[in-house]
Order: sequence, then structure tokens, then C-alpha cells
Amino acid sequence: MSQTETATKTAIEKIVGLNGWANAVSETTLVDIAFKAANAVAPLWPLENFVASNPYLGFVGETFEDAGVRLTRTGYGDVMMSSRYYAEKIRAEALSDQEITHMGSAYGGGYEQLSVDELARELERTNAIKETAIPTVADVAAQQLGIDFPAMITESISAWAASHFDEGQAIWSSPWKSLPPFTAWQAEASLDRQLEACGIPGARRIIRELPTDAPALFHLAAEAVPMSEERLELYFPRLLSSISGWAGHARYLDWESTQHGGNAEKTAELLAVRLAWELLLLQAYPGLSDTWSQEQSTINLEQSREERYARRLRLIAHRALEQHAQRALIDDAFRNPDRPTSLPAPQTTPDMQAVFCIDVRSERLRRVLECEDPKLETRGFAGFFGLPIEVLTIDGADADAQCPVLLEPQYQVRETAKTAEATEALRSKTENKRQVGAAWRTFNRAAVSSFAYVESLGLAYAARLASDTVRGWFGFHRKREMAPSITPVDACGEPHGLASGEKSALAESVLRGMSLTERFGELIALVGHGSSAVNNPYASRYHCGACGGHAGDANARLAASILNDDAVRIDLRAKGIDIPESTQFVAALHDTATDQVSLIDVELLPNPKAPSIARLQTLFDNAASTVRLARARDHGVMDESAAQILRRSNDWSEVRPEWGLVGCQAFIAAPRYRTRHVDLHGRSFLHEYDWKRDEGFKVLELIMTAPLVVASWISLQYFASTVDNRNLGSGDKTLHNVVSGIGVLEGTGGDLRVGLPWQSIHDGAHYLHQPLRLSACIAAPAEAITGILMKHESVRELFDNQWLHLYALEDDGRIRQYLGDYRWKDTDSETVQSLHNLPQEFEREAV
Amino acid sequence: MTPIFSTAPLAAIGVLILTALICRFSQPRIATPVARLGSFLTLGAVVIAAIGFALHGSAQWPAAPATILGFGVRIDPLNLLAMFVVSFVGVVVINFSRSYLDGNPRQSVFFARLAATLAAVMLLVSSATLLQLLTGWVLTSLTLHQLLLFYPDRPLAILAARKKFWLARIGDLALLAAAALLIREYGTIEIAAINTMAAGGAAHLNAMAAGLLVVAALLKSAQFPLHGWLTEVMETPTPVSALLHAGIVNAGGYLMIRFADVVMTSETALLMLIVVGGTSAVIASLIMLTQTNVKGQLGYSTVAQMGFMLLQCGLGAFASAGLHLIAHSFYKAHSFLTSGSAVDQVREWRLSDAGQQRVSAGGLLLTLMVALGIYSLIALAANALFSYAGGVFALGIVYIIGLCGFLARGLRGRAVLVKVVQHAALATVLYFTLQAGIQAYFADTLPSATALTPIALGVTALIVVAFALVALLQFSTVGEQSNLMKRIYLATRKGFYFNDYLNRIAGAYRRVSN
Repeated sequence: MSQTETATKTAIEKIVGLNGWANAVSETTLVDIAFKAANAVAPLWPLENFVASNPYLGFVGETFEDAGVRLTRTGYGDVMMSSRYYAEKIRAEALSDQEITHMGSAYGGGYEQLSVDELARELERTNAIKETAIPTVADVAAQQLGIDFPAMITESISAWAASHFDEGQAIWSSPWKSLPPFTAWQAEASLDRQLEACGIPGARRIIRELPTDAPALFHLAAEAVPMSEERLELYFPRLLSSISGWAGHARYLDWESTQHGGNAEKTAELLAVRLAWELLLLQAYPGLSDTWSQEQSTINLEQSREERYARRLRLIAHRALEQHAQRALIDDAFRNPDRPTSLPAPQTTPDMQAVFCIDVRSERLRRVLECEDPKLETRGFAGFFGLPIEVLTIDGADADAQCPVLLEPQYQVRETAKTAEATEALRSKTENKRQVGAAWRTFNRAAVSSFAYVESLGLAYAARLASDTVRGWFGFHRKREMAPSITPVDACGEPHGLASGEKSALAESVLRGMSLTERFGELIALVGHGSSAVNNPYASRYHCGACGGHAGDANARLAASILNDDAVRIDLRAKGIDIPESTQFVAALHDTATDQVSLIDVELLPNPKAPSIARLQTLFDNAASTVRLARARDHGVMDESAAQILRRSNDWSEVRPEWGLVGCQAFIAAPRYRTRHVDLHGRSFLHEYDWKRDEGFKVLELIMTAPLVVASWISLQYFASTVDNRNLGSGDKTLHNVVSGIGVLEGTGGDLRVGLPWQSIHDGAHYLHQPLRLSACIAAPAEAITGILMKHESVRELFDNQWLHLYALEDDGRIRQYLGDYRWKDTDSETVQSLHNLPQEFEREAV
Repeated sequence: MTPIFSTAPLAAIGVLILTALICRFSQPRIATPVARLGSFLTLGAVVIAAIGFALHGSAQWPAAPATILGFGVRIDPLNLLAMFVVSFVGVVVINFSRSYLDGNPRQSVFFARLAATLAAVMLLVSSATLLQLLTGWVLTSLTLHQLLLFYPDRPLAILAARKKFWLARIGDLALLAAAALLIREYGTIEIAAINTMAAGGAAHLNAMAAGLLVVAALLKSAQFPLHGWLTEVMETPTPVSALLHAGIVNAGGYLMIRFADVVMTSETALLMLIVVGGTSAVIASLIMLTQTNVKGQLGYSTVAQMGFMLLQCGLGAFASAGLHLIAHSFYKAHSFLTSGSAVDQVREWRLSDAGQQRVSAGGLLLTLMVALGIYSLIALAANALFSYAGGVFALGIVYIIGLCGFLARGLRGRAVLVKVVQHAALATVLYFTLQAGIQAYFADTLPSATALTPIALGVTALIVVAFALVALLQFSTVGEQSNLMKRIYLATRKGFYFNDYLNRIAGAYRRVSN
């Protein structure tokens, strides 16, 4: 018998001796359930490239309603706002009785008779009914001993995790960092006097006797905390939700690791840590196990009738509000009486085209540009321009994957200067600067050195305080620092042009992806985007999600250089895409904080003096100020001039440098001419798509599996941060405390926070984001869409389980709504149906 | 006749009180511009005071020995410096809070509390009399308490504020007792007069008063082992942390410099400062190295810097302590307000690979030689090498050790080293210039350092050795660590558990009812 096994056995005997519950699930089942619980945690990207991820990711296999119940039961959070919010909102939005009845009728059993007033009243009445999470040993112990163990545990594990996962905030890092998380925790906690200082008797000894690796711990737990399978499936997620932030970080590490073919065990290891705490409490307080087994036998895992009723009322109100917004959108955009139902596609060739990222923030700018110059056409496409690249800094110290996180980078690109000598000079300059910077950082913050630093340079900070304060008062546009040039490199980092075959294939897929295969203008701008916030831990989340949380300039530059390549043009011609010789592609970057668009690499163009270039830049400049004005107005900041918008991006104290993707509610894949005449208020992702040019619906498949999924992640992140900011958002930004270079704490301690800050969805008086599930509107035959759903279970799940809504915009003007199970229904202009798949058997209890 | 400028501190306090009142009872739309205007006017008043001081020298209002009900303001080198720091930091944090708390329905309340706290600190640092000093001292703590509990429902905010509250009351008592002793002995409440007479006072009374003053200062400046509250008060918006760490926590240092003549009379008081300040500086900077969140790191950094400042006082280098006080204020205010940039800083640090860099013994020796060389050359040029008395020489050694850390990280190729040596030389020139400047500024108003007693000298030597060990330790934490080091690491990261026991006493995690 190995040492570990012996230790395990002793420990089991000790703990099993404390309680004699029967019927443990088998050990393999237990480990399965543990891993299932670990995989249900939503990955949390680090702040360096904070990519929006769906906080409900592990629950999309269940319907919106069921998942809501289970999320609450397991302590993760909720999927809907409070009853009171809905009561106020249905009145404020002036919903009609008919709209409510319509939603209620899906449940039958009396729900269909509710009027707006009745519903609002009932919502108010049931506001106090709060579903609670199932108890853990820590909860039971807190009840019995009057000590807040849940808070203590979160605090303790969070502090440990911060040092274990630290990316370099601490100068002296944990000596157990390289061990697997559970082993590291066990090694550390068995030396840690803190738990005893907090009052847990014999904590170190108990932990020392625990197994030293996670599998053995699960093994032990299977015997020590026996439970039914059904209960374990709630219990393990419940444990993880008490450390959901760090679990999310572990899940992110697992995600990255599996992408590179590695193991994914860190989240399960964290579960083991939390589980060990349960065992610790059971053993430290012998009286606990009786209470715990009593609790076990009495707890009701099901919702009570009252809870179900209250939740269902909220659901009816929520759906009615969604339907209300959807009707406004769809009537306005696609059923506008001023426009014929079927529009002819434009036939003339525009002078210029500008391709933007589908990001909702580009929509406003696109509209303004189109109004300013009718000879300019705009398109929407995923902002990485179809190039899954990894960008190396000039000294090779860092590599950023600039593509959606669902993809693996295929090509490496390195920042360079114009010539080889200049590159070398810049490289060594960058490297030296970095090293001198590190030395300064040591001087500034290391022990003892920092005394000398303050003595000699501390006074200079008066000047910095003054200049940072004053800079925040004025608005001026700062240009993003960019490498002079970028070059594709091989695996060793040596410059290495892409093979021309590769380039042509990329060029073709990009052009087909954006449905741009004819009518090429003289100048085509590929506009990536980034944001210029300062002193903001969340700065990267304003960048391009399709570029993995980075600014998209490198992708745009590479795409433009490929499309300007003569050899590529010849190849494309052979494939039926004839780009006129006079057509030039130019890269550009849209700063979403200031709405300024700057052209990049103009001097590298075949004809840098073409008049269209100056014309486009002027257009961009004019549009920027118009959009800034509209943004200032839109956010209800009446005394805020367009210049104030510029100020925000320069102000070190600004918590809202821009509003990001707030308000996002629709994803529209259609030719631009179908939406061109509507103001969508910067709330829609617009993807250019023309199904008639899409052979075999390959592009549609790509859109539905990539950009649409990314858009749904973004929208659900805003959704979750709005409906439950305490559990699924990151709280008050003024308390944020960056930890481990990874994320933020709210205040001194607590768990790592997930999601978006309160300030990002609320202006202090109102919610800026209305939580609506994204409506995907796709201009394609419903049958074609069904075909894609059949092929992709994971996408179908999102719609069938009502995490998103789906509409097909047929060419004849009909709008069909997806009902789930591959069924569609025509909508008329009176009501947009939005119910599907609802169980009918429920009664309207308790009314 | 009392020059008119000497009432400028009164104007500043008045403006701040008025600002607090208006903000308290108005909407953010009005409170924001009012608070900003108030902060500028306050700074303006201090600038007028500074101009007056430059033209006429120190002044007091009402002219000594008159007071108004025991209150009176004084403009002298120390008060002027402290008033400038407070009003300047006030302008910065109030302007920062304009956007930072934008949309918070209680933004006006926040401004009101900021202004009230600033008024209390201004009252404190413009004192001519013991009564005003004591009042300012207590009011600062009470108004700060309101800021720490700006979000009154946060359990950790309540815990930290509770600890701070009771420690502050002990400090208040110590200061009250010291004041009573001083008044009894010297028969005046006028601080300047007490300082002038201190050398001739009764030794045992002086020693008791000095000891009590030191206790008040150590508590105010969150010295080890009762430092825990300072590193935990991040439960309130960042500008409060900036104000606390830049403007309030150094009140301990202010008190020591204010009563330098009294403190100097007691060798025990000086020794207390050396021991507690030095220990805090060593231990807190060690703990700082292991902290993983940016505000916690800054908190421990403050404990360490305050310790260093009090060590300077203990060594009799009061002028240097004054310089350290203001330099640290600006440095720490900026660090807190830019703590949102920590992500970029960590990334740069990681990319530079500096954390993984081992420095060889030869390398360390080289950096020591270079640091010594730079220091001695510039000291010689500044004619300052041997001008320091007694223990003050130790401060020079600490500076050299600190410089070594900077230089050691620069051992990365010739180009980098050359740059770093250049920068180090420039920093050292600045160091000597500032030291000379501050000595000149405080000339005649502060007692000069005297030789240390043998015990103090021994303790100082130990502390300097500890500094050197800590500096060395930073280079030996790379890679595999021995079991002993692992234990030391853990105990360090946990702050040697002092705070956990303190928390338990303060009722952390206790639920009120079941």
C-alpha cells in the first residue's frame, strides 16, 4: 500500500467514524460528477484580454427556465431580474394586457387571464419570495456555531488562489506554485496557522492527514460525505459557486490547456480544495455531523409551489418585455410600411467601401458614413477579418492570439520596422526599454529600494498628480501606438512571407465571408477596432472580442496587404472574383472611445496619393464628431458635449470611458440594404450576408457557428451582469482591487469577481442595459437555417433551450420565427410569437 | 501687527467646512462644482500663506500668547509643508472623484465627507496650540471613520473601521495625556513655546510626554503589530485610500516633527521610534513582497514607509523625515489612483522576465561597488559625506542598499546597465539636492541630530543589517526553495498572523444572531 493510500485510509476511518451514513454513490460516479460540475463553470478570461464569455455556459443544455432554477439552487446566480423590477418595467413600458395574456397562455392554468395590473400586483406581492441555494456543511456549521464559515472559506481559498495563480503581482511568489492546485493547497494549509488563529481547532493537523492529491480526496469524500447522485449533482456545483471567480479562472486555464491538447483538471482540483474544507469542518466540530445528516434528510431539492409560481410570473413578464422589444425592432427594421417588403439589391458600384467589425458600436458610425456619402457602402464582418493570427511583439517577449477564442491561431505575425536594420534597432531598443523598465519597477516597489526611491523621486509625483488631473479635464485624441509594420513569420520567428497559395485561399474566404465578390469600389477600408481607455483594469474588454480582446489593427493590416497583393489578385480572378486593378484595400482602426477612425499603412498602398484616400479620411473625421454628439445625447448626458466624450478616454478617473456594447439585443445577418434605412441605435450586431451568393450555405454555417456564438456570449454576459450583478457581475468599480494581474476583488478580499462592473450597465439612476436575450435575425430561407441547426447540436441547443431567439427573414418579406425542434412559424405584424417548447401541464397555482 | 496672511489657514478651514455643508445638502450636480471650487480655494489659501511666509517668515494668529478659546493657527516651515500636501492631495482626490463616483446617488455625501475630513486635517496641521492639535487629531479620525464606512453594509469595512476606531481612541488618550503633562510642566498651550522650553524641562516629565507622543504617533501611523486596519480599509472608494495614505496616516510623522524638541529630550522615546519604526519598516516591506493584490501591497508599503519615516525621527533626522513625509504622500496618492493600471504593470514585469532572474554573488558584489561608488562620488561633490551626525549615517547606508536593488535588476547586458547606472546617478544627485534643500528649509526650526546612545547605535546597526538581509532575500526567492524558506514565505504572506488574532478579538466572522 502506498503512502498516500495509507493516509487516505486512515483519514477515511477517522471521518467515517464520525458519521455513519449509508448509500454513497460509487467512486467513479462521484469523480464523474465532480468533473461534470467543474466543466459547468464558465471560464473567466484574465483582464489582459478580457473576452466576453457566457456565464451560463455550463447550463445551456437546459432550458432557460430550468437552468434558472438550478443556477439559483447551486448558488451561481439567477437568470432574471427581481419581481419588483418586472412589476415596474411592465408598467413603464406600457405593455398591453394582450401582450401579457399572450405570454400567460403558454402556461395555461389561469396564467392566461392575467392583466398587466394584476401581473404587476402579483409580482410585487411575490417579490419577497427568494429561492435559496442548498446548504453546505459550512452553512450548517454557521447556523450551529454562529461563525460565518462561508465567508471565511471564500476569503481563505481566494487568498490562497491569488498566490497560487499569481501572474506576477507579488515579487516573492508561492513556492508551491508549480504543484497541482489541490496538492499545493494541502501542502500550504497544513502549515498555515491562520485557520487556528481564526478559531478552528486542530486545523493544521486535520489538513495534514488529508490525502495529498485530488483524486484521493474525492475517494475519501465519497465515503465521508455520502450522498445520492441527484444531490451530488447540486452539491458539487454549490461548492464551486462559493468560489466561482477563481473556479472560473481555473476553468479558463483548463480551456487554454485543452486547446493545446493538455489536461483539464485545475477546476476539479479547486473543487477538491473546497470539498476538503467541508471535511475539515466536519472533523474539527464533531457535533456537526449529526446536524448535517439531519439537514440531508430534510432538505427539499425541488422548488416549492410558491417559488415556482413567483418565478413563472417573472418569466411571463420577462418574455412579454422581450416580445415587446422584438416587435419594435422587427416592425421597424423589416416591416416598415414606408418600404416595400422586398427590396432590390443595389446595382451600381460604390466609390468606396468600408468593412467594419460586426460589433454593435460600429452600426452608428456606419449609418452616419452612409448618410454623409451615398457613394460609400459599408459592410459588417467579424473584426479579425478571417485571419486567425498570433501577433508577436517586436522583441518576441509576448504573443497575443488575435482571433475569436473559439479558434486556434494558424499564423504568426511579428511587429517589425520598415527595413531589416531598422527592425533590429527597434528590437534592441524595445528590449532594453523593457529591462530598464523592470529595473525601475524594482527600484519603485521592492523592499528597501522603495525607501530610496521615495527619498529621491517621490517628490516628482506631485508633478504627475498634477498632470494626470489636468489631462483628465481636456479631450484630445490620442493615437494608438502601433508598430511601424508587421510581417508574417515562421515557427522560429524568422520573417517568412505566407505562401501565395495560402494567401489566395485566405483572400477568397475573407471576401466570400463578407459577401464581397463583385462591385468593388476604388478604395475599400478594412476597419478593425480598439478602445483608448486609460487607468482602467477593464480596458481590454472594450477592445475587439473577435480579436481575442485586443485591438484589431494587426488583422486589418495583414488582410489589406494580402488583398493588395498582385499575385493574389490573379489567383482570385481565376476563382471568379475579379478585383479591378484600381481597387485598393486600406487598413484602418476605429477607436470606439472617441469614434475616430485612422487609416494605417497608407504609404504602403500601390497608389498612396489616390484622391479617394483623403476623401475617406475626411468622411471618417466628419462622421466621428457626428457620432460623438449622438452618443452624448443617447446616454442622456445633456450637458455633455461631444468634446466630453473625448475627455472620457483621457481621464484617469473615468469609470465609463465608453458604454461598450451596452444595449446589445439583436444579431442581424443580412445584406446591408435591408437595414440601411433604420436607426438601430447601436444595439445590433450587423453581419453582411447574401445567401444567394452562398454556395452550399457554407458561409451561413460559419456565421451561425462563430460570429453568432461570440455575439451570444457577449450579449449573455451583459444580460447576466445586469440581472444578477452581485453573483454574475463584478460589482462596484470604485472598490476594484486588481489581484494577481488576473482579475479584480471588490474591496479588500472576497472571491475573484466575474462579469462586468455595475458602472458598465447602470448610470446611477437607470439600467443602461435592458436584459433581453439576443434576437438572431438571418436573411436566409428557414430550411437552410434548419439544415445548419441539424448539423450543429451546440448551436441548436442555444435556440431550443431559449437562450437566444431566432428569426428567418425570407426574401418575400415573410418573417418566420423558430419555435424549437426544427419548427417555424410565420409571424404577422400584430404579434411576434416568442413562445415555444413550453410545458403545458402547469397549473396557475396559488392565485 | 500680525500679518494678514497668517489667517490664510483659517480661510482654508472655513472654505472646507462650508464646502462640506453645501455638499451635504445638495444634489451631485451642484455638489461636484462646489467641491472642486472648494478644493481650489483651499489650495489658493495655502499658496497665499506660502507667499506670506516667503516674505515675512513664520507667523501666528492671533499673535502669541493670545488665543481664541485656546485655538490659534500658525504658519511655519512644517505647518506650511503639511498644509500644502493636504490641500494639494485634496484638489487631486476631489477632482478624481468627480468622474470616479459619477452616477453614484451619494456622490454629494462623499464630497461632503471628503471636505469635512480635509477640514479636520487642515485644523490639525495648522495648529499653534495643543488644544487645536488635539481637536484636529480627534476630528480627523472621526471624519475619516465616516469615509471608511461610505458603504456601511460591507462586513470587512465595518471590521476594519472598528479596529481602527478603538486603536485611534487609545492614541487619542495618549495624546491627551501627553498634552496635559506638557501644559502642566510648561504652563502654556502654545506648541512653539513648549518646543523652545523643552530642553530646560524636567527630564522625567519630558520623557513621559515624549513616550506618550510616540505611542500616539505609532498608532496613528499603523505601526507593527497594530497595523492590520490600514491594509484592510480598501472597502471604500479608491480616492479615500489615496487621501488616507497620502494625507492622514502620516499625521504620526507630523506629530513627531512638531514636537521634535520634546522627543529629542528622551532617549527612550527615540529608541522606541527606532525599534518600532525600524521593525515595521523591515517586516512590512517583507510582507509587501508576498501580497497578491495591488491595494494590499500598497497598504503594506505605507506601513513600511511610515516605519522608515519614524525611524528617521528616532535617529534625529527630523528634516529628512519631513521630506520623506511629503515625498511619500505624493508617491502613494499617485500609486493608489493609478492602481487600475496594475494589469499592464504586471504584464510588463512578466514580459521582462525580471522575476525569474537570479543574480549571482559576483553580480551583487559588483552592484554594491557601483552603488557605493555613485553614492560616495556624489556625496563628495555635495560635500555631504561626513556631515551627518551619528545614526543619520545609517540612512545613507540604507539608501545604498536600496540603490543596489535597482542596479542588480539592470545586470542585463551592457546597454541596459549603462542606462541604469546613469539613472541611478541622476537619482542620487536628486537625493542629495533634496536632502540639502530640506536641511536648509528647516534650518533653525528643528533640532539637529545628536550622537546615538550605544544601545540605539546597536539597534540601528541591527536594523540596517535586517534591511540588507531583506534586500538580499529578494534575489534568493527565485526557483526552488528550502522547507524553511517555504515556512517563512507562508508566515510572511499571512502577516505573521498578528492580524488574524486581532480580527478574532474584533469579532470577525461572528454572526450576530441565528
